[in-house]
Amino acid sequence: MANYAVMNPGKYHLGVPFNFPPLQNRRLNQQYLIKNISWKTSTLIGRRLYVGNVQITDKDNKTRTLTDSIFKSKAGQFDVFTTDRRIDVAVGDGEDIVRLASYADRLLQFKQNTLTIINATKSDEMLEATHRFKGVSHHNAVCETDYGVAWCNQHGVYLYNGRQVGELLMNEGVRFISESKWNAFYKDGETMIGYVPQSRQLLLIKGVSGSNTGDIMVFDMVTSSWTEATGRLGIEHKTNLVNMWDGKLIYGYESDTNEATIKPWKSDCSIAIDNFKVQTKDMNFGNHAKKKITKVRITYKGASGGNINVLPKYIVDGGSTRHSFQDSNGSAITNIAGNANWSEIELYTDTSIAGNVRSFAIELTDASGQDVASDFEINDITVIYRQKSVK
Amino acid sequence: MPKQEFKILGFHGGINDNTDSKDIRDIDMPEANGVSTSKIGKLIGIGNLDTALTGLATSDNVAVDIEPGYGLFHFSTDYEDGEANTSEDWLAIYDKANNRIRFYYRNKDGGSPSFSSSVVTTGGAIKPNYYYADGMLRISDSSFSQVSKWFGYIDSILYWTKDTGNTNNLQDITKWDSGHQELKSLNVLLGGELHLEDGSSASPDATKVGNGTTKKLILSYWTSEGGEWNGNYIFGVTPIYMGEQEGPISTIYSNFLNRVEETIPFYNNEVSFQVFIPMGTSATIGNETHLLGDSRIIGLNWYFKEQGTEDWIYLMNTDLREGGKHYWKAYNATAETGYGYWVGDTPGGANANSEREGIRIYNTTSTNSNISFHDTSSGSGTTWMTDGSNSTYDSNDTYDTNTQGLSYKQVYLRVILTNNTTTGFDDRYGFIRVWGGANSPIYVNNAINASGNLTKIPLKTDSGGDTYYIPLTLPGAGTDREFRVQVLNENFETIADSDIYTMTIANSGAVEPDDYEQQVEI
Repeated sequence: MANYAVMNPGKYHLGVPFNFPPLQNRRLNQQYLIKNISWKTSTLIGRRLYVGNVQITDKDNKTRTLTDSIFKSKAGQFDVFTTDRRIDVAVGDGEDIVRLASYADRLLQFKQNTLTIINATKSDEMLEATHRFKGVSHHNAVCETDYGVAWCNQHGVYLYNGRQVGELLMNEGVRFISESKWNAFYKDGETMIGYVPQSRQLLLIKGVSGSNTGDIMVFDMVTSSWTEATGRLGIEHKTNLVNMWDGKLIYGYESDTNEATIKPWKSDCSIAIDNFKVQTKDMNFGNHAKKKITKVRITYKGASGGNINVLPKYIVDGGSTRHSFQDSNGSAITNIAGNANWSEIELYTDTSIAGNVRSFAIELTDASGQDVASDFEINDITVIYRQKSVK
Repeated sequence: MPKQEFKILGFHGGINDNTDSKDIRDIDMPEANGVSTSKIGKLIGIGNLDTALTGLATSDNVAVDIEPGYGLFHFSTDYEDGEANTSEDWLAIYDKANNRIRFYYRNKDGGSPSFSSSVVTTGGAIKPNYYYADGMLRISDSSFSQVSKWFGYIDSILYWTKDTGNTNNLQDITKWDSGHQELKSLNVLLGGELHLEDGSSASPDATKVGNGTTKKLILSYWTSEGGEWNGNYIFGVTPIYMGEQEGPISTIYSNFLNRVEETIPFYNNEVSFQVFIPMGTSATIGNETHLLGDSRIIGLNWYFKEQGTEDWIYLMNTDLREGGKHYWKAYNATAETGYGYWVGDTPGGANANSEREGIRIYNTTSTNSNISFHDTSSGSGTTWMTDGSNSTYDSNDTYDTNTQGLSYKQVYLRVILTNNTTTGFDDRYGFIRVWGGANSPIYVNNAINASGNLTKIPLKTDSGGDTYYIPLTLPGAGTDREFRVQVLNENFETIADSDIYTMTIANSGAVEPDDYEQQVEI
């Protein structure tokens, strides 16, 4: 049995000849070679890969963990890292790199407390800005969108659009989401943020394991508004959020028997809503005079053939008591009948309660613990009142 | 006061619970739980999870133990799970219970999504962080417990044997594959089995090549005189991975365990190199395993350094795909070690007095041993010479031991080449280099043969020798002017040498001709 080899050049005893040693040729420079690298976070900018918070094994087989360092690959060589292509923005500051993200030619380095924005336009990166209190506690607290990079931390939710960092809990300089609400929602080290490109929304999921982790908050980037949904998701172990092939935001979760399910988020409601609760502003109708509120009219549709399972109530003068509306017969309203088309329901107040008030608010909740119909929609709310003379 | 209406026509302000409820905008709400404000003028229900991906519902019993907050990644490839060159979408899913990454795929052109049989074993529990670039997925353990891995489709058409390498090559590695992300050195991949072999008299034999069980890389070298390699040299090699990524250099050791560098001494040498990679006991290679131990390797860069110096200097590249001008060939180390070695008569052989290394330029048809010059390409005519009594030809001049050439006379040098090696030279053509003319040297890659036809110079000669008539201008006058003929192979390596023969050139009175125009493009 013969032994074979592949041979190059592919002719017998035909070598590659050298009359002299080609001393003018390039020298091999591997003094900065990194043999092996592990990383906690990475991002691509153009044809270069940036990895941060790394453990490297150098040419001398020394292993080092560099929690403050970023390494960038050679262009188009995504497995080649060298110690001379290391970027240290802030070292020994008591923080580690948690996440790298990019938008256009900007590299965002998130540590626990500090965000550093690095201009990676040229071959040498330049520090562009440092933002304290804008860091993140874990890698899932950051997502990339077509508007920029969004992230959340214990202080709020932010968006970097390539020019500036905007605070999404604020609108036109006014904070909309209270500190207490945010603190109740945000779970350090777990709260995830993802982008839903179909509806231009940010989806924030409270946590990846444990109780109450099915709560969500949604920021609509078109209307710049927040809503929330308590217990909208399960409390199973969840993976990170990713956008899949069609852009849909997905995550996986695990059943008790270690069986995985992956589902996309969709912004159109198709599942009845638990923990439904909407409250209007405390309306004083432009002045603080006393009014007599007689009737409320709601234009709505949904739940054809059944009840919507919405219980309307009202609040007067900013009080804590929720009062029931009555129908034209004086009976307390406990639900709203469904209708496939837009229709109006008239809700009457008890004039002994709402007949002499300065402000009035409406609250809609789910009726008797029942889930609200998924196709329920409200078009408008009309309050009929008579202002009283100022005495 | 008359009754009045107050209308809330929009809700797109969303939650505003940080301001007194009386002072917020009409479109704001202190509470908005379970609703969406994405549509101006309407309040609708908030979104929810959609139906599970096909084959990825709990009822599908897909065993994946999730590491909370980790494990999911999307990427798209140019190849589908079934290996057709069709775009495919993938989800990587980490299965913590089984220490592996599983892959769910969906064909962009349709077909049922499913799990791939391909998996990446992680070696232990990890917290995966992924990136994907240029067709390869990289997986890092962000807890730094396990080494980084890669996963991707390998489409390597290796070892072309012709210019139509897509159909004429020795190995196709076309498969989904994975491994350590590290670009390992060849000494690591091959366990130190890098070897330098002296190929001066024979190519590596079956023992040196082995039966393929042990992966090896062999650099064969041989020398000839006339070069400028002087000193003791050490050689090394780096693997070139996909993406032109160069791995660490490996020194070729004579003793790998003790790291004793193999040193080759040269003195005024020209050096030639040829690469051998053992492929087993068959002339074909299975498509599963890369001969150098990593499917991503597509080339080699060779380096050298003089003993006692530090810097590795680039020598040459070996492309594992096309292989350069002469491509690749399957070499039988058991039977072909002598193939391609030019063998001519040696001193003491049958034609020793008129021939060196298979090159004859003596006129053995006469009783003298003068060089065989002629007036014509058919081997006739003697006007190029004189008997030495004067500097012109006359009819009394005879071709004998006193014969002298006339300066700057146009002649034909008869060269007879006899290569006694019968194997390894099929379809190979070389060059004849002639020293000693008015313009010297001249290179010839075609010449008029004994039949009067212009022909290339085959390195595989007839057993009786191949005769050529090479046009030449005799040099200026002088005694013992030297003439020499060499045979060069395709790479201009000297493979046969006639040695030096002399003839006195008489002054014919002719002037020096213009520079000879070479027939060979160099």
